[in-house]
Amino acid sequence: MPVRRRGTSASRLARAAPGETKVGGVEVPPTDVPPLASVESGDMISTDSLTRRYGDFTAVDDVTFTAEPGRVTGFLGPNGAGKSTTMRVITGLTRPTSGRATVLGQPFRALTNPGRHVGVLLDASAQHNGRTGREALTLVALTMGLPEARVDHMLDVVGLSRKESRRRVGHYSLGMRQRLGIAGALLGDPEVLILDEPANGLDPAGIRWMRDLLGGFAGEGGTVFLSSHLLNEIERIADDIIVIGGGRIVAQGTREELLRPSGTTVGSTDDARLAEALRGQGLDVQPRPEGGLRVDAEPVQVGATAAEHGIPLTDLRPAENRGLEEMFLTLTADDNREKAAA
Amino acid sequence: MSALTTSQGRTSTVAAQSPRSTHDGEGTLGPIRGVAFGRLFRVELRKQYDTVASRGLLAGIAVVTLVVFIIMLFTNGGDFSWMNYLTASVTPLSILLPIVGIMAATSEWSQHTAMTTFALEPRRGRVIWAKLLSSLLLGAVLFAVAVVASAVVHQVAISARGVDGDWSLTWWTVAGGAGLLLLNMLTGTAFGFALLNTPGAIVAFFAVPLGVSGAHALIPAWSTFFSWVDLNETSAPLLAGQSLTGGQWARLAVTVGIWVALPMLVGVWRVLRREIK
Repeated sequence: MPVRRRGTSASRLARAAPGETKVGGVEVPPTDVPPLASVESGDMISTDSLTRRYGDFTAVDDVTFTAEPGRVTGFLGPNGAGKSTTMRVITGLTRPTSGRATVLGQPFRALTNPGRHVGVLLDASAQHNGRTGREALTLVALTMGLPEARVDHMLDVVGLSRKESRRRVGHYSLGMRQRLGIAGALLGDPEVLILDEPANGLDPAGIRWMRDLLGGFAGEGGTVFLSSHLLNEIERIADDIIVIGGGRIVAQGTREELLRPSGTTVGSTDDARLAEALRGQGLDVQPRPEGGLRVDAEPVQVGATAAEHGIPLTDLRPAENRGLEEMFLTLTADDNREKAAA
Repeated sequence: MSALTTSQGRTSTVAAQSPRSTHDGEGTLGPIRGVAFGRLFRVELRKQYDTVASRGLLAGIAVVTLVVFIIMLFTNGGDFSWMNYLTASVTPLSILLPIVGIMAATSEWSQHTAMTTFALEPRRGRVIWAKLLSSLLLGAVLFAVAVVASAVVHQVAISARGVDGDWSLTWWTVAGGAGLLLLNMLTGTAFGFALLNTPGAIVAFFAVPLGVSGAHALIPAWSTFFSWVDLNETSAPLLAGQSLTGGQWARLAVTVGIWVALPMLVGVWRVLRREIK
C-alpha cells in the first residue's frame, strides 16, 4: 500500500472539497467506486463541512478534516466537544444535518463488507453482557465471513487468554473490554481504524501497549483515527492532531506544527546584561519568574548572542510550548462553566 | 519483540503479533466479498441462543413443557391423544418463545451492540429481515421439536401407562399450532422493534393483549367491537383443530393488522431512522 504524506493542515483544509467520488475526473456513482480507489487520492477518512444539530444544539459544527494513511490522527477535545458524534456520522450510525463524510472515498454505507475495510470501536462497553468475549468476536467473524481461527489470532494479538475469552463480557473490566473491542476492530484486517477513546480504562502498561499496537498499524500503512479527551495521551500517540471544542475544529496540524516550541529558555551568570544584548537585536525577552529569561528566538541565536558578549550560560533549551495546552485548558474550562451553570 | 506484562498480569507481545500480519499478499483472509444475507441470517439466529438470558429462557421452556407432560402422564392415567399432548406443549411455547423474538429485536439497543452490528452491515433493512426470518425459523424448529416430543410422550403413555394409542392428527392442528406460534413470534418481534427496550417490550407484549381481553370482558356492550381487536380471541380458533370460518379469518386479519403489522411498521421505521448510540 502506498504511503504518502500530503499537504499541511492549511492545504488539507482547502483541499477537502465536493467531488471526492470523482475518479480520473469522471463522476462515478458511489457504489461503482472500487473500495481502494481512494487510496490513490490519499484521503482515507474525509469530512466536508460536517454539521449535526439536535434541535437548537449544534453538536458538530462545520467540521472539515482528513485522516491519511500511515498516520495516527488524534481527535482531541473535552468531553461533549462533538468527538463521538463526528465518529458516529463517519461510520454511518448518525445522519449528518448537512455536509458529508467519506471513508476510502465512499460514504461508509456504500462500503462492501465494511468490517473488512474499516475497524470500528466507538464504545468498548457496548457489548452484550450475557455473551462470552469469544462469542462476541465469533459473531463479528461470521458476519464478515472469516474463519474461526481468525478469532484465536486476534485474541492473541490483544492479549486475552483463552480462559478469559470464555468468560461473559459482563465480568470484564473496562480494560479487558477495550482489548476485546480492539480485537473486533482488527478482526477483518482493515486498512482504517476508527476508535473512540480507546485508552479509557487501560492501565499505564495497557496504554503503552495500545500505543505500540496503533503505531505499528500506522507504520504498516494503515490509517488510525482515534479520539481522546486527554492531551498527553494524544501528544504521545498521534502524528496529526485535530482539536475540537464546542463542535468546531479549533486547531489542526501535525504534532510538530502544533507542539513546536516557539522560543528559548535561557539562564546565565548575568541575565540583565544578556537581556539587554538580546533586546539590542530586536528580540522579545521576558524574565521568567523562576529565574532566567524567555526569548522569542531559536536557542542557537540566543547562544550566539551570549557568546558574542562573553556571557557564560547556565541553561539553554527550547521553551516548553504551552500553546496547545493553554488552548485545551480554555476549552475544558468553558465546558466546565457550562456544566456548572446548567 | 517487546513483551510487557500489564498490572493485570497480561502479557502482550506486540511485535510478534502484528495486527496486520495477514494483510500482505491478498492475505489469508481471502478476497473481500459483500456480506451475504445467509451470513446475516445465521448470525442473527445464533444471537438468539448465545446469551445467558436466551439460554435460560429456552431451558425454562423445556422445563415447563416437561412438567406439563409429566402432569398429563399422571392425570387420567395418561389417556390423552398425540394431538392433546401437542396442543399442551405448543401453549407454553407460544407464550414464552416470543420473548426470544423480543430480545432479538431489542437487545441491540438495550445492550448497545447495535453499534457493532450496524457498523458491520450499515444496510439496516437487511438486519431487520435477518432478525425477523431467523426468529420465525427458531419458532418453526421448536414447533417441530414439540411435534416429535409430544409423539415420544404419547408413546411413553401407551407403553408405560397402557393407554390406547390415538395418533390421529388433523392437518389443521399442525398448521394452526404452528401458525399461532409464528404469529406470536412476529408479534413479539414487532413489539420489540417498536419499543426498542427489552423490559418495556416484554411488559407490553403480555399486558396489552391482556388489557384488551379484560376490557372485552368488562364492557359487554362493545362486544362486537372487541371481537375485531382482541387478538387472544381471534387467534384462539387456530388451536381448535379445524379450519377457520370466513368471519374468523377476517377478524384474525384485522387484529393482526392492528397488533402485528402496525407495531412492525412503526418499529421498522424507528430502526431505519434511529441514531445509533
